Amino acid sequence: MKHVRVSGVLALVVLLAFMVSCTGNFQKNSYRGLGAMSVSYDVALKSAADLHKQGYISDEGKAEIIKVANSYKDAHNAAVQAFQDYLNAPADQKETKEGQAKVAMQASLAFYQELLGILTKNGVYGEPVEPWF
Amino acid sequence: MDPTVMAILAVTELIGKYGVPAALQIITTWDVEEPTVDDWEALKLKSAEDYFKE
Repeated sequence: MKHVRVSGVLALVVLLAFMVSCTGNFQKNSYRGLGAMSVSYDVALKSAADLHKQGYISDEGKAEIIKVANSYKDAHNAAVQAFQDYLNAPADQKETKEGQAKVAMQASLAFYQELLGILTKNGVYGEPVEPWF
Repeated sequence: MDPTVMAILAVTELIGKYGVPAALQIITTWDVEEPTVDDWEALKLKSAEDYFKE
């Protein structure tokens, strides 16, 4: 298969964002991490759709990407929901909700790495950006 | 290097690599100090099938 370089997948940005999210303001840094992942997802899926339209990605590849991308989407949205629940939780439940949000965020990262693998396999990959933030 | 120059270079690089909309979205996300429920809601993703329908 012909590999086409597409600026899209911000692997390093996401990893850096998650490293940052381990320290400092838990909620703000998690928001930044999941925000970077949502941009990455959007750009990568647009790139994959363009490549499929141009015939660089087969129908089988498209089906594979959609399956894994939807798994990631579900995990990502569950993590976002967990943070909304954390925000809305009464003070005595904050600690529990924070723990649940962290678990959900880690789960979304695992799915994200799987998505990166499938995209790379199908010729969608990008260049990591420098840690400017 | 002057922080303003660094910021301009960084933004230029982001736009060059990922396009204006993606760069703006990253910058906007990064600029939120106290994310609200609505800010979080904006991060939710749409289904992968939708991209292939466009």
